[in-house]
Amino acid sequence: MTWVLDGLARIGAGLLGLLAGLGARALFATQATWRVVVPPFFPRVFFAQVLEFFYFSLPVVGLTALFTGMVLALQSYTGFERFSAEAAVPQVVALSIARELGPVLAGLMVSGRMGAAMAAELGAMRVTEQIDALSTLRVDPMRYLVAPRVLAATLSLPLLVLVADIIGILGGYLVAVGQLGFDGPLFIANVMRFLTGGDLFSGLIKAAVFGYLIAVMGCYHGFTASAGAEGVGRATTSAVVSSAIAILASNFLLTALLFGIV
Amino acid sequence: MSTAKPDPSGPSALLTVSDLSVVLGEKEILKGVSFDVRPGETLALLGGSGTGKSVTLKTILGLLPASAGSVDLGGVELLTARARDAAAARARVGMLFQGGALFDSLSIWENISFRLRHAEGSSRSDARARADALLEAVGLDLSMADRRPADLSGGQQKRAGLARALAAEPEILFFDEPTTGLDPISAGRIDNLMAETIQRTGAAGVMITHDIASVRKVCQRVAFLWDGAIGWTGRVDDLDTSDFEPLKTFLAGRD
Repeated sequence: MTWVLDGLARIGAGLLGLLAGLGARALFATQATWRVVVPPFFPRVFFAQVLEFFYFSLPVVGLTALFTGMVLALQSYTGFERFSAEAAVPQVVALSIARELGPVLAGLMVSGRMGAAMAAELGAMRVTEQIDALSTLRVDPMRYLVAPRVLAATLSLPLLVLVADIIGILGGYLVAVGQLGFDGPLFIANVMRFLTGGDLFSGLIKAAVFGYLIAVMGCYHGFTASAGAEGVGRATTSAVVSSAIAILASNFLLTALLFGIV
Repeated sequence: MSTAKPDPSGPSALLTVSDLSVVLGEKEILKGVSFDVRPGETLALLGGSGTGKSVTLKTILGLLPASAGSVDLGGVELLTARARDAAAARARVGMLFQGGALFDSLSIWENISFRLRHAEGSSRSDARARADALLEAVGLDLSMADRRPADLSGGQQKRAGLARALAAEPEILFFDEPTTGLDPISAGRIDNLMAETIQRTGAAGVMITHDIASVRKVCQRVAFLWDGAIGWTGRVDDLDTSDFEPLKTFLAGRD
């Protein structure tokens, strides 16, 4: 009987730990969001972060989108060929990229790049007492370090996804026209005819949410880092894993909401 | 055990810590720490590793929560005051962190003038002029103003950290292990700089350190932390004649 109680106690402790972790992240997100909308702001830090999130993430996100579009054209062509529906390749490429693959893959790539970078930078600042130093200099660390990153990520990721959408469709175009024998102007005409503003908009909404989640997770794990270099390493790993899970889980919820399935 | 008692003939205490207790997680770190510091003097907070010296300073600064006790800073009770009042009182404190804690992404002059620019509303040119003056005051060459912290040696970083702590003309200075990790020459320079600064500005100082030589150069009084409370307090000159066993062990380097 004791082993049953021990088992239940362990499950209960694990559940409580999970809830405490979720609560801590939710509280952190609320505090960060409050500082995003209520001044004072730190525009210099914000623009530096926009540069990091958008400009310096462009190569990796652009390449990801390009190859994804190319693969998508090839895969959909070989699949649709079985029931003579090859003509639908442009529409499938455009819809898949705009609605799903653009925001999700860009989100995952940025979470790997920027989520890790934020956690490492803030974690190093935490263990070297730079965050404590900010407080003693009468500057709120959440306001100076977290709020600009959250705002920059939330605004930058949709822009990044917009570019990724264009590059991804271009990748599909290159393969379809160059390798599969599609007519170029017809490919573009099909994309323009089938792709609606709603498709693009839903992807951009997803991107904004993903950007917010990446920044909150990266900053949270950096802020709560401890135990020197090892702790910073753990924070970095946790930030990437947490933001990837948050992106995938919220993607399902957002898809259900935006397309009225639920 | 003796308790830190103010000298009635001297100036009144700027900082009075009474029965301060701190519990972190399950562990009771401080169990009733009491001491005071007056303007123009520097108190050394001594103690072995893990006795709660840094925790004491961080609790006074509001970086860690206190579980009981009181901290009076210039007439403001920090633990019960409204957040705004407590923040205004804490603005009178300057802190030199153990590793300098300079912001890696900013230049040295931006570090020094950080509070002036971001919390006091100084213009860029005024902040730069003040940073240059402080660089000279701590004996750093002006050519270092535009460098990043990583380009400076450990001793230079400490001096830049001290300049940053002095930027807003604090009434009380906290020094956290100021000479740890420095070579003897750099440590001597930092000691002289701290002593001169306290003498010149008339500020109060609290220094936590393991470096007894540094204590003898810079401080006038000592409070020895032991078992979560102040185990012994007295003048620096009385350190060697103390019969408090844990302090004797500490001074003998067996702690």
